[in-house]
Amino acid sequence: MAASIRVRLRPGGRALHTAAEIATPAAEVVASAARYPPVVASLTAKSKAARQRRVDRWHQEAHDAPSVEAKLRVLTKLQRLKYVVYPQTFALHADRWYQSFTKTAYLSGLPLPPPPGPGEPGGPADLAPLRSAVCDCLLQEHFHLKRKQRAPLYREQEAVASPFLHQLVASLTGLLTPHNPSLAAAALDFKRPVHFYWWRGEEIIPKGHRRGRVDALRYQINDRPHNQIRIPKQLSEFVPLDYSVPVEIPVQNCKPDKLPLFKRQYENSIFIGTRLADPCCYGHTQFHLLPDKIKRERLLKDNRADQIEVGYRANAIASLFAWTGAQAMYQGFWSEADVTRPFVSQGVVTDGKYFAFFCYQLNTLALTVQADQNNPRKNICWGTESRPLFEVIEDGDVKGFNDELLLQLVQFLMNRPEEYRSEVL
Amino acid sequence: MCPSVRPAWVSGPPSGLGKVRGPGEPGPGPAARAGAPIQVPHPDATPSRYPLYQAGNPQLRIFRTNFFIQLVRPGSAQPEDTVQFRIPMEMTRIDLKNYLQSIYNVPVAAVRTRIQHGSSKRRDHRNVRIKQPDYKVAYVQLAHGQTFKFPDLFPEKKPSPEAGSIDDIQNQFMEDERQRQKGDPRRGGVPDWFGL
Repeated sequence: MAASIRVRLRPGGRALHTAAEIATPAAEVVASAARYPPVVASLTAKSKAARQRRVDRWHQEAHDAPSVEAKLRVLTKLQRLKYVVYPQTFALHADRWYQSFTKTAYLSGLPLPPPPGPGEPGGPADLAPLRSAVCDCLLQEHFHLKRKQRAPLYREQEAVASPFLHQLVASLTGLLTPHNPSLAAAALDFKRPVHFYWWRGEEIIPKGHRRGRVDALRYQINDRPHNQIRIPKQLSEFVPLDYSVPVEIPVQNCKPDKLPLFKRQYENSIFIGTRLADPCCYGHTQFHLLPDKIKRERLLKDNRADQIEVGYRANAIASLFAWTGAQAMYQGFWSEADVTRPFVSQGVVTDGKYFAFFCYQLNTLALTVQADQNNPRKNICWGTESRPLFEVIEDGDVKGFNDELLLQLVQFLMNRPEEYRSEVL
Repeated sequence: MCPSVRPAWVSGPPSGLGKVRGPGEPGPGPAARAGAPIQVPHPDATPSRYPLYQAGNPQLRIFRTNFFIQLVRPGSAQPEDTVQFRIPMEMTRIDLKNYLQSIYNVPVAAVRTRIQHGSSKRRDHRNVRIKQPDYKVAYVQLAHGQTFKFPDLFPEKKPSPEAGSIDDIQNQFMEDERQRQKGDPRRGGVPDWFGL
């Protein structure tokens, strides 16, 4: 009776109960054998989830690349319109724009101690041979060499200042090699290309067949530093990797086109000056010569006296960021695999008479919108104002030679990685 | 036949003007020229070309230029030191720099120009294309760190009529009417016809 009531009140209850009993062990067996495909977003739809899945697939392909060459190829294979950033530019306030493109904080003053004088520990043994070498280079170009014709219009720099700078770097490096073992193993390049390609920020495409879609902003630097010194070991860092800089990075409210900056589509290349297999794959110092377009006299004539220093800073920030970024990518780091140790390089920007010194530390490569969401690290650039090396050259004599500048240059060239600190040749 | 009507196949100038001269032939002397009417260009007309400069000429100075420029609001966001102008097509960036510096004492660091094509797509009731005029746009960057922001010419302002005016009395009357039409506030917005 109770059983029938139970059955009437819950018709099929017993059937269900027994069916469940039979079903559960069967279901367990079935669940362990069946594999359903994972429920993921589409790959080809016009949706945010689909785009995220495509981007994640591409990132995974880069992570899984067997070698650094393959990784760079995966990252730079797709060509799209990108902004071409010129380190040597006459655009106004270019240094603030370049700081926002490269997430660099600029600090005035170098992180090194004041350059030691001759005879002091860490300084050159004797300043006289160095000074005479520099004066020889100056006099050679400005006085002794009798040129048949004047340099063509607006090509004075490459006719006069370029050979002087090349000779200066070569002679100073040669004179200081006995005192700095890292220079002995270094490679000196002359006008080698340095390329870097990166993403920063996003925009909605305004026109074209991809209109309305979100697209990252791409940048490319193609630079030709006048001279650069590459060493086999990385220079020691100036500040720790996660150092929080008190200075804010400038933020621009308008598109980079207003700088003015133009877009082009061509090969995305990342290059430090030599190919991947070279043992000298870390940077030491770069030397840049400013072109005639941003000469001091021209800027003063055009009401742009405050843009003189901007030219030096913009050149240093862009070139050193490109060089250190390319060095980091040669070691396998990229925006989703951020650097685990800082990459440090030095730079000297000159226009033949005035010299400005810069130190750059790359703390982060994660500049894309996705990677930059929780990234407190900033790249840091330290720099000085431009100072003259000499006052005037007349009658075969260099007047007003600036010894402090020479000491600073010597300090730059004597900078060496940690391992070499204790070594003395 | 009427003397003023010429057959279409007759080429050359109308007979009243005189002999047609070739390019190399010398013109008539001043005495002969005095007879024909002289075409003098209007002094205010913009010359199609400035007088040619040859080495040794004095510096060309223009004291009352015929250029007029408009300061416009930028369509897209510009940096703080950039001012946007619409300038005549014949004006160059060097002209604009001299114009702003000499006439208005505005220090100019850089000027960039472009020509905006005026649309030729619209058609009128006869399907004839209507051309909007082309114009030149100049982006001027100010020197010495100066900035400029285009002012808001039509700010949102609620019209508040002054006390005693007709508008004010009218508004007051309408407010009182609305107050009278409202029901008992103690009913909490429930209409009058609703009742238990």
